[in-house]
Amino acid sequence: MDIRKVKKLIELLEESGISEIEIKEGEESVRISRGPTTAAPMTYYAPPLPALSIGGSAPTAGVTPSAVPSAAAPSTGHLVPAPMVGTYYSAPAPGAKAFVQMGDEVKVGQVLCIIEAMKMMNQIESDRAGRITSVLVQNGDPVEFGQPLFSIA
Amino acid sequence: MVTAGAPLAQRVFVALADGTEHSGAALAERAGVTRSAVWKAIESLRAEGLTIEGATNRGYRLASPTEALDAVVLRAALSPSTRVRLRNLAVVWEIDSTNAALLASPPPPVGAWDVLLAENQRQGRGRRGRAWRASLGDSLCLSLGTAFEPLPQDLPAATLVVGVCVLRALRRRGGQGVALKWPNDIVLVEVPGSMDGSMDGALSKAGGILVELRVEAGGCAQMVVGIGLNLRCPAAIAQAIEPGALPATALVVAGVEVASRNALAAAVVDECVSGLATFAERGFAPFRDEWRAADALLGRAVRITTVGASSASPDRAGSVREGHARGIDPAGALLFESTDGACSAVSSGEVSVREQRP
Repeated sequence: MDIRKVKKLIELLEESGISEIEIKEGEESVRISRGPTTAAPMTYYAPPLPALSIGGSAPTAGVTPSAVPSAAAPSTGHLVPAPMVGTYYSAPAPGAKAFVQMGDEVKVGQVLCIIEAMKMMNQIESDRAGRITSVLVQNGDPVEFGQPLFSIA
Repeated sequence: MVTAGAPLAQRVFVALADGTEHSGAALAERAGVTRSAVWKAIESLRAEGLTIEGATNRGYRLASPTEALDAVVLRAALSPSTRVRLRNLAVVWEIDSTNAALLASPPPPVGAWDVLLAENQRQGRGRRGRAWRASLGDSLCLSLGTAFEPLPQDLPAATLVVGVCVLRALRRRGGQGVALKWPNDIVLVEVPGSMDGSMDGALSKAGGILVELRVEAGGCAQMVVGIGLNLRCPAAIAQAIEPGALPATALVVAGVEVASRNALAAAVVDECVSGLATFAERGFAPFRDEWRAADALLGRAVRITTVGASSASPDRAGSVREGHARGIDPAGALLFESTDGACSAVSSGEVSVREQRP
């Protein structure tokens, strides 16, 4: 599938009120969704490598799944980055209620999550007042330094 | 010193701590309450797991004498350099969690410290909210709070640095054979019939560390270090440890002078205050070799479980990996060699020992 086509689909999705679109072309299919609540904002089903070469010269066959979601899920608002490498926890203890959820109003200094590394629990505070418009990681996910965790608008 | 405003149970506990017999009447007079109030206090202490021999008409005696925690005694036992850095030092009778209390209070200025001890910690927290079980008079539950600006380099290694500090304190108080299980457990290594310092023996847990941090947007970080130590370990506690975890043990087994609880607490506070000041300036490097020398997991067959498996998202299976522990990297992450030979540096996950060697 041509990358320009994927881009076009994303534009189409953004202009419309549609939240998800799935296109199938031969052996390839692509699903683009927006809406920050979905666990996987976008899945790109790539056929096994041999199939990719069907297009022969198609320079876009190597599109990586990660390259597209950033375009597919445009983040509006202020992004809260991870201040350190570690594991993301949404709640203070297993089974406990999450610190925050999509749509919650948060205040400056409010705890949003915990990032843990080597059993050091780092409570991440909001540096912005507003509404959580997206939660970009899942409980238990490893996160990198600077990786966006939430967007707040 | 226990003030008249302290809970009656605490005042009775302090009176009984010496292990001699005290009549109900004497206890009542000393506390300025009725004998029936003393009886109720005795019953509440028994309900907390304390073994008190005797009855109202004979007199009461604590089965295993202990030293009640006392802020005045503890402060006097601290080194002068620690004392000048202290903002607050308090001993409370009971509390949900000393860590939670310090985290909820305004942080001390950068370089200053708050210290909070509790005789009876109801909801001590291990990592990830697990209950830390402590027994009245037979454990030490303390938290230290401070602030850093800027953040120390190798920040997550704070847990390991505190481990080294606790180890130094335990050695000062006579402890031998105490080791560290990555990242935050204080363990004893059983050495059957030999004193060669071998680290191959079975492990049992004598304490734990939980470091919590709140980083303000401005960059100033409030850090709270929680330390729980088993000094003596009643059977009831040993049985209450969850399956799969290391068996519980107590520091008395390692020769630590557990009778002087205030002196032991002071040693831990001294070592942590000076150690974390060094950490703030120079990071993990000055502690690395000492940590490595105390590494109880080195070479052992281990299993690493990431939280996904037990978290609220059953659709995402957490991973369980088996292999061997190969020490720590310069930043303090666990070096792990999986059974297929791949090596990685692990900074998160539960590490369990796959087989306990006898």
